[in-house]
Amino acid sequence: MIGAFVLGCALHLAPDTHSGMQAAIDAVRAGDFLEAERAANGEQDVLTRHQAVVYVRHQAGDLDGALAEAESGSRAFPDDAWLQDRRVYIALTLRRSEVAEAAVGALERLADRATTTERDRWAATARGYRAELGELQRQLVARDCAERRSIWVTVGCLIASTTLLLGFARRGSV
Amino acid sequence: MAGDAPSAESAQPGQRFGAVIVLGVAGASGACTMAVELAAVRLLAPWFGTSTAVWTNVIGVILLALSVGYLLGARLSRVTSPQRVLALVLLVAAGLAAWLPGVAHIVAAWFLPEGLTLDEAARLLPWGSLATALVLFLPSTLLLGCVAPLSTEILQRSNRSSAGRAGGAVLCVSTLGSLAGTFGTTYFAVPELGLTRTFLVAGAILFALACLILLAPRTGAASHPSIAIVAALPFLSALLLARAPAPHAKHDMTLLEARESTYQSVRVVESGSGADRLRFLQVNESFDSFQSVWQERVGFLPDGFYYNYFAMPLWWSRDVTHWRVAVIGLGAGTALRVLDGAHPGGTTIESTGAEIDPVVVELARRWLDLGADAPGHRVLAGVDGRAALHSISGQLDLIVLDAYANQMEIPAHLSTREMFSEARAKLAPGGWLVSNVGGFSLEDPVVVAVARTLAASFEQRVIAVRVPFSRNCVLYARNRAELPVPRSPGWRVGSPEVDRKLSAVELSGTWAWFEPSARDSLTDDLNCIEALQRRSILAASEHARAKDSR
Repeated sequence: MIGAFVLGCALHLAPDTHSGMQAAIDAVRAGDFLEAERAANGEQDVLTRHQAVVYVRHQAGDLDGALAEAESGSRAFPDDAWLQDRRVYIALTLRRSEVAEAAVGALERLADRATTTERDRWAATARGYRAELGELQRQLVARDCAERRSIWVTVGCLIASTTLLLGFARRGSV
Repeated sequence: MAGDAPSAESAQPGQRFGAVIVLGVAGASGACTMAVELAAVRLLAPWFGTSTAVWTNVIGVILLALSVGYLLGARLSRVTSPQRVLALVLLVAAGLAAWLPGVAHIVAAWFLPEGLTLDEAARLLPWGSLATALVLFLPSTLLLGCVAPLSTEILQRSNRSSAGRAGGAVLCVSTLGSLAGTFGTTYFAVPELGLTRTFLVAGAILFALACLILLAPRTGAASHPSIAIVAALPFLSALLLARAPAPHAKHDMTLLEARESTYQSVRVVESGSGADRLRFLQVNESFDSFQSVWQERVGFLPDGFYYNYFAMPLWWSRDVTHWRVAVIGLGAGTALRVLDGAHPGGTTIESTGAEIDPVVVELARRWLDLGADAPGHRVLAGVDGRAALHSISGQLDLIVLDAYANQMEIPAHLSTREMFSEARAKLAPGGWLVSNVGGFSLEDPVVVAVARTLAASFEQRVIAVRVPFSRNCVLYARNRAELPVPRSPGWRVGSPEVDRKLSAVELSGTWAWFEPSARDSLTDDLNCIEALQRRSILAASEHARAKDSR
């Protein structure tokens, strides 16, 4: 997945433009994430800079950092489908359902407004994410229900036990 | 009137009852009570683990049930034939105990749904384990609590003795039985018989005791056989039907072997195929976690495994060509496999690994290529890590500390100033201590506490790096020598594969220094690591929620 992402990212770029992004990609391929981050931060174009930093942080395994940058970039550039895509992907990896929900919604809206070829691609991507998000949300809802159930059963059992204790004590068991 | 206790002077011959039998019943019931209690925690372990919180919940439920049972037993002891009541109580308790393995997974699933990660489930563990323990263990233990007062009443009537004498005798024998049950369950029943058979044996003993009472002559206990037969049905059905589900792997993995040890449930699972095969050794509930990992070749593991960062000192200190290494918390030997394959050329390693659970070592030798004891590669199985450190003679160049209990708990005695000072005393000048600490960030309360304690013991700052693609941090401390500094000469080592991993933790926010702080140190006397671990889970979920809502 990450390999395909790298290739897609590289192919997306026109040569000799966005030199900071290209330098970041080259540095990541060379295994130098620090240099890649420097190159990404040196990118002139603001949108591309956000994308580059997300890419570097994600490749380096700093998922929280990558998500924070994707969030920041999405706020500044809400119509960038790539950033929304990364936002969903990383949020799902980190199991942050609310972030993923917001990002999937944004991706779906962008897909609706996109050109024909782009629309199909992003719509299919969003559908896949939506299914994954649904499963995550189901698990988290089940967890919350289980927690409430545990508390109620515990309280009920304790009340019943206390009632029995008091009842036996009052009836002269002691 | 029915229910009034006859006076000692007017005790009918039919109510005479051998003191030996009733004391035997009390003793055996005590043993079964402890068997249920100790096996209870292990029964819950596949879902809730065996943390201190789970133990506290189970013990609390048992004590509550016993207290209610004592009063109920006192109430029931006023009947004309307490022997009959005792037999019925034992019959029902036998059935309830025998059915526990067969229904535990159903009840546990109500309170702990599948698919959660370790940190997501952590919130559920205290409440879920308490609710599960109440549903599963309250009824049977409550009935077992009735045995002591009923036995006392029977003994007092049949022997015409004083309440104190009868009560003291019952308590004495019951407690001795509990003692036998405690040791027998831990050291024999659970490891040798397994959990299902342990509960069935406890149920069978209670059933046999009930039959003994019913069939003993001139007790009057057998005058209503139909009631006894109905009460016996749960146990008899449990013999045929009550079975815990077979161990199984989760998350599209293949189960290779599962065993019960004195400490935990252990299993080896496999994922992938061919050269990409990975095997994991998991304990108890595991969730998305693992205790050890194996791949076919030695050396670095794929990204996301913190063990890779244990090898860095071998590169940073390349002037050392022969390394004496101790691994505290060896598990299945993952750390050693990484070191053995990921060191600079010309380096030799002599190792001693300590793993407290011998079953882990046994499975590791069978499935995860942990070698047999050999000169230069010792495995101390069944030895606590701190005790193992004491036993190692000579100086060490590297101590790897990777000891965890119950999935995510650092044992308190392995996270203190005294422990780290003892470790430092074993290190040669310039020697390293590397520790894995599970934590959600570099601000995680557990990471901060352990790092500051380590720094205080080594009397200099330590560095923590956040392992990429993981929930782990690795701490580095050095004995009377400088640590390498990220983004400075000396951090990278000239090997592309190693430098790639090192550069990933040079990014801002992925590493941090921790200064010595005596005030914030954990000590043997005062160690709040468990509270910190609870705070860590809470902080992580609140932090995520706060970020999500922005």
